[in-house]
Amino acid sequence: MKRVSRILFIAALAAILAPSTTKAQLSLDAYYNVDWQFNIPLNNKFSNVASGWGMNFEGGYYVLPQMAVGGFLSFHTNNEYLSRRTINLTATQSISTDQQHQMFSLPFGILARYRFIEGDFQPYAGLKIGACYTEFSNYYYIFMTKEDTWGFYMQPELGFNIYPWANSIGFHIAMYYSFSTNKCNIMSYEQNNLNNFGLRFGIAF
Amino acid sequence: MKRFLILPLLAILVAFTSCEKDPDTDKLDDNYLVLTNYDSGTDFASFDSFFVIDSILIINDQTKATYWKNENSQRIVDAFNEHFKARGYTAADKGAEADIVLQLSYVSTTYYFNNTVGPWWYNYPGYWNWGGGGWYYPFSFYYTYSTGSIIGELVDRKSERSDKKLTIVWNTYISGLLYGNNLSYYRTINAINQAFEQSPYLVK
Repeated sequence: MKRVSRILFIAALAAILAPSTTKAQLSLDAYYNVDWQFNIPLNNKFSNVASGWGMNFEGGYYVLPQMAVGGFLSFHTNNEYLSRRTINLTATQSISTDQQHQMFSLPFGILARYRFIEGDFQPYAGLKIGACYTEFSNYYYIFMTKEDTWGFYMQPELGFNIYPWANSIGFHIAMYYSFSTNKCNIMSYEQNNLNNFGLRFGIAF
Repeated sequence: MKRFLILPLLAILVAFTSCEKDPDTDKLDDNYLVLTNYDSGTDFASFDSFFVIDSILIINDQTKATYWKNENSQRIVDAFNEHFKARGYTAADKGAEADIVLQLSYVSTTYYFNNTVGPWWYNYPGYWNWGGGGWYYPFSFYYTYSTGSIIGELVDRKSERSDKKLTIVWNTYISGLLYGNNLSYYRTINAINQAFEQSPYLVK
């Protein structure tokens, strides 16, 4: 009995410590990522405060051993409080108030990903293109002004998937730059195009 | 494998039901809002005398005109009077003798605005019509009105048109004046000060 226990213990230890000889991810032909994301607006005149209020969902199919194509959808909210000030709405009209700006973006589209290495650790470079829905909202006193906009979206990305366990989920870390052609003009806050830098941390399977 | 798939799917479901983060409106200072506008074709230095009507029209859900005239309304009227004097204008004894006249209205309820199509002053019972043929706005001024607001409209008495209408050359919409259910006079006076501060062109 003692011998059997020892054999089982050694076998379990070997299974944990030994390099996996089986496939790392759940599917060799496809991948999926679900991420929390941290988004930093770059020189945004409407809302320029970084936040972690966002997520990313994507999946791809490896049409070649190292090249995948697929789709994505992500969303993010960046809010910025602006203290009381006087704004010239037109050449003759002025308003004095404080404001809470909200920028909610929801890009979606297609992607391509190239992984440099196959196996447990898969660094990659990717590109996403698609459409971006962005909602610009301005809250002040008891009022709210909103603009719904659509734009073209493009987002290069660098990152890696890592699978510490065989036949199981892994982890995903990435950084990205995104560009979209959304525009807004609320209360003289005019923003043409959106530029962001961001980080993603999530699971891969 | 199923359990590994269920967790991410649940995460996706939860994420989509709360994907837009509402802004923290508690950060807003809950203080006054001041909006001003003016007629760019008016030379405010050409006016000499002014008059502020000492009864404030109350805009509510009544079909009969109601006016507010007591020591509290006088504090508001006095604040406007002081600013016009500070800007170099001379106080006239009555409206008929003044170049410019300020008429004030207080939004007691928003019933009228929520139930009327068109400009708010159109056919409002008791709205200021001392000018004879009425008045007109040379600039657009559309806004969402809220309870506890004061509207000030400055009429140029020299500007009578062929249809007898007088021109409103400056206006201000001051909101956020309630503290609880009562008008905060401290906040109201500060808001009136702000209305003049953001109207530097309104000077003799």
